[in-house]
Amino acid sequence: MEKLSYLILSGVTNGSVYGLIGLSLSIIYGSSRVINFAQGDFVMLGALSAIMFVTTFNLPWFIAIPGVIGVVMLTALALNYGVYRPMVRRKAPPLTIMMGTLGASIMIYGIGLLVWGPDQKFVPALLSLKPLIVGPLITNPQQLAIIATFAAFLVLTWYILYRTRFGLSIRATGVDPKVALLMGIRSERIVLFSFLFSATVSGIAGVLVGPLLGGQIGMGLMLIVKGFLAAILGGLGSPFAAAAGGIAIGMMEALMAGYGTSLYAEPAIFMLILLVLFVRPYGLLGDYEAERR
Amino acid sequence: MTPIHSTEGIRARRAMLMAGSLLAAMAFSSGAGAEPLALKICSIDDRSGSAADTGIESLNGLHMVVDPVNEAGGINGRKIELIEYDGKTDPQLTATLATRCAEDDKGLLIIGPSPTAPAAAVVPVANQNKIPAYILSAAANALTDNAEFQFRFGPKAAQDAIAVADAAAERGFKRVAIINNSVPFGIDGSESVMAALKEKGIEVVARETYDVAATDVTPQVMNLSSAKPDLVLVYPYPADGARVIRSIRQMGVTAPVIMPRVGLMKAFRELAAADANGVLVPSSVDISRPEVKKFFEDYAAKYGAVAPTPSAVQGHDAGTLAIKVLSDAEVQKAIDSGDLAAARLAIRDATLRLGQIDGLQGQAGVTYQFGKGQHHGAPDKGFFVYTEVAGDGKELVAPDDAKFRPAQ
Repeated sequence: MEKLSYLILSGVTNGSVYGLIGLSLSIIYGSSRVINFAQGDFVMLGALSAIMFVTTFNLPWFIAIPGVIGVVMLTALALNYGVYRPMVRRKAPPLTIMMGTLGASIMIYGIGLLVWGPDQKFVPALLSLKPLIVGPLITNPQQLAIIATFAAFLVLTWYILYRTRFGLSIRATGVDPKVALLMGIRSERIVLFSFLFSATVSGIAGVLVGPLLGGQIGMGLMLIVKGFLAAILGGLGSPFAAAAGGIAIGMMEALMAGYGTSLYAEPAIFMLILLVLFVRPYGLLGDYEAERR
Repeated sequence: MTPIHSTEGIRARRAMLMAGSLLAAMAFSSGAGAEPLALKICSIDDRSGSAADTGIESLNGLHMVVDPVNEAGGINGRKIELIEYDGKTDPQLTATLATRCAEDDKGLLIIGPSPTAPAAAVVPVANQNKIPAYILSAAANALTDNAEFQFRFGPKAAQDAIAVADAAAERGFKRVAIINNSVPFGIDGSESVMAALKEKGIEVVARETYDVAATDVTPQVMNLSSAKPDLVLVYPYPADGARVIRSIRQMGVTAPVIMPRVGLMKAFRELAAADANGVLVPSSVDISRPEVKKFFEDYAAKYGAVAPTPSAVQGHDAGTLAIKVLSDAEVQKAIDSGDLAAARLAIRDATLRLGQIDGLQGQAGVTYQFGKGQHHGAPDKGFFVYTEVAGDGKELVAPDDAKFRPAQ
């Protein structure tokens, strides 16, 4: 039982990281039907700008966190006004816009290289990395913070989408931006909000995983693969489905490593995801979300 | 238009071919012997990306032998030109840079890269262009099998494995657990050590693998802990190595931990900080040797202090052999002739002839073993010493031998 508890905790921790990335990918996809390849770079910016504010400028966290959010939001604004809007106004298809975000990702990487250099860096931890005993389990406060933040963003996303008129506009834009426009919804603003919100989610994810993964300009790439898998497995159109996909992947990894063989865990998980998608091509919760809309 | 198979057409083509050959021969004969070749060495290594510190340190080590030679007037009055390329830990880019060195820069020799993947990308370019490549730390076992133009200065994974298995057997360890990441470095390393341990009759009680992007490796460490090992071997990259060692400490595993190669890397030690203390690393740098100590003092004075890792030393040793080879009479003759292909071939042959140098890697008195059919320089015995991470990751010290024993 103790082993199972550890495995669940580990699965939820890893799953929360994948879920946060999947959630942020899905928020943009839900409003624009575009997969933002630069999403991983917001994670990188979150981790490395935390180093800049906390270590280089020696600022306290209550100033550093808004600073980090400011950095990722400015980048999201540049991405929205510099890549997304010009392409949409020229009636570029989603695939072309996705290539635009890939180009932006390479540019952000280059700028990151100029600012922070190539080395792997120590990211200061918001909370302690020292062992923390929770009942029969040993974990650390930083890992618990990842799970708590994931849960908080899920609740916030749910509240915005389903308890506000603005959320209704977001959902309407996601279903059909042209019809939404005819109904008086300014879809460009909705998409801008989704860029800013998802950048914040990823930036905060970067602050939290940075101390555990190490800060490096290429760190976004390795995380976005799992985040994208999470979104596909859960159902790309819904932030909650993408988040659930992240938890599912994290749990599968942990249980496979704990009770099966860790050596073949990754290929086995990819195979399992493929099998799920054969049966439910829109992801585990994709259809449910589509009907709900 | 003349039909291609007519007699006149064939005669015309023959005449053109002869004229072309004559011109080419004239051009060749006027070029050969007229202009000696410039002493160009391309340093291609990863100075950005995850292995950046290895490439930066290896280049600094190379400068430490090349710069004094140039300041003293060079080799036979010609200075060595170092062309520096950053491979960015990208094999494809590294191969392009190696081609650029061979074809555009007319380089005589490539020094680098350090990690396996970019090094493997340089090998076909070196053999195709017949340009010698002094590869540094790349660990993949097969990298110098049936080698033609590539030479390796660092030990291969199997030698790390032998060093670990020898130490485990000598100290009486019986139950070894292994944890590695799922990239080729981790898998190759763990498989090599499993084979070496089997030869010594030491049981591997657990073997765990994890994804480099995993934030939490508790399931793997739990399995490892429940197997009750008396020694733990870790084959990670720097950042995930820090996570593994943190998890090992968190789960209360008290067995000694050996982390080949990565344990020496600055990125790992900085990220793991206090959790890195006590990690043991087989290293090809013996800090008890006075000349090694002096080298790192000089390095610190010039570039800032670094922990005594092999990268700087490998750059130094590759540069030392390169200077010895470039100074060789046969090589100088080929360089003076202006014949680039002949010069590269002469450098390859001189490396095989003169390659038993006494470098800064290995224990005192142990030399590199380059020679006919031997393109891998590090010998199996006497090349490793053990070092221990201390001072919250900031120091590398001689290990406390009492702690490096199985618990009673």
